[in-house]
Amino acid sequence: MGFFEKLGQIDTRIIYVLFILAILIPLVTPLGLPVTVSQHTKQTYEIVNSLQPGDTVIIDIGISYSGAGDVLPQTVAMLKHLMAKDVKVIFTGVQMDSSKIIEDLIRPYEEAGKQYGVDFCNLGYLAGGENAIAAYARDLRKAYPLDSRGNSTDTLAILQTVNSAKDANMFIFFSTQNADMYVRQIAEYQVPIVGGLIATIAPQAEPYLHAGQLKGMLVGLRGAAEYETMMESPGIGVASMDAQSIAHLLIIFFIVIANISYFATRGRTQPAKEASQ
Amino acid sequence: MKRILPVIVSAIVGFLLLADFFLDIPAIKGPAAEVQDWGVILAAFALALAAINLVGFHIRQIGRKDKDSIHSLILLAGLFATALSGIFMGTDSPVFDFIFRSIYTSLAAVFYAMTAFHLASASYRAFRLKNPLSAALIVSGVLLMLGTAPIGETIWSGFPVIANWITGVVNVAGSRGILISTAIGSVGMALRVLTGIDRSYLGAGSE
Repeated sequence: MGFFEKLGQIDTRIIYVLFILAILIPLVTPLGLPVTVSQHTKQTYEIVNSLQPGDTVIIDIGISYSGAGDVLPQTVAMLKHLMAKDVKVIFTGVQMDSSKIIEDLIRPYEEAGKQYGVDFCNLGYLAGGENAIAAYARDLRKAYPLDSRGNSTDTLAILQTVNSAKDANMFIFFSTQNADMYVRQIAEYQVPIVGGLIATIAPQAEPYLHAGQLKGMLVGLRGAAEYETMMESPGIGVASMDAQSIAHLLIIFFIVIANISYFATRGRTQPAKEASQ
Repeated sequence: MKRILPVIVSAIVGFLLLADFFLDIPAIKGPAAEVQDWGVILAAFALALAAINLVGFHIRQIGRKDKDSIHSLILLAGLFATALSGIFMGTDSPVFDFIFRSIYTSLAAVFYAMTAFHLASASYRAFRLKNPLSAALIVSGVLLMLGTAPIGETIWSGFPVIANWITGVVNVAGSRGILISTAIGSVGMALRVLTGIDRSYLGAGSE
């Protein structure tokens, strides 16, 4: 077997080992590559930054743990921003993992002195997907008679002034699924909608952003890194960017060498294939 | 009657919700809201039904005593351990917390992360510049990878500009087309279901 044939038949295990190293090494020894902020993230940051202390937002956590690595850092960064601005947050969820994820998100702020039921609340998971969004957007207390901790939602101070999407100052969602159902169900309430999506799904939501139905959108882990950069508060997003960069380069490298092998051996392999057919 | 009644119920519910969405008629707001709340309750019941179905299926699998029975046994053990610890000890209990954080969360993340490895391997084995269409796919993929990772703009500041153009112009044009055609198709499909022309959801073919 010649050099170019070998180049096109690298063992999968070698690819996996190189891929692990491409991710691990930059995490252990960061390269410190600069993260420039995209227009999407700037737009998102600015609209969130325009909220005033005392405003209330609804955040839907449509995140499953499987895709959390891509979208949870966005949530952490934006919640930090909202808490710093003393914005009140009503958490809802349409994924089964939502309730636990929300508890993890609010715990540090609760320990730091923010008050549950006043500064934020966790309404937890509501079954029904898009139907659940439509139900709670219309009447939060009716859709959620109890919050995730078992409190009657009638007793939560934060829900006394905001009981539907139209009462909120902003609707934010973070999703590992799609933006469609949020736009379809929330747009009629004329409340600014901001989303955070995994990188593979975000391109499907671009038309909503261009049409103004979404006022802002964060795209994957890069979106988190850019938001952290805007806040001047580097976190897991920025820390992961070097690993993502090297992993992308490695994939490109594999594509290039595979195609070099393909073109170098094409003339030689085709007659053999034709003969076998 | 077995077939006509579900069609009538679907039609009433469907047209009620459509009217509520498109028309401003105060009289139908209450009933429409009530129907949507029923939807949430039905979805919760569907989850319970799915769990019962899952348990029934895997009990039958275990009864067959073949080489795959062990997988069904592990699934049922996991299902009952999680459900019972959550129901009787509470979702804040150390046992439930351990199952959730140390097993479920880790496994879920691993499954997602594995796709990156498969992607790396698949891009090496499948991405070949065989024709103009595959060339367009590979070139746009490479440009997007370079444009969305910080290393790309470190190499050349033009990569993010190109990536933005691909996602903001080419992608949006395609996505809009797909969105609009899907929406039109959904309207047609919904009308067929609501008027009872398509009854495939009842287990019957179109008539």
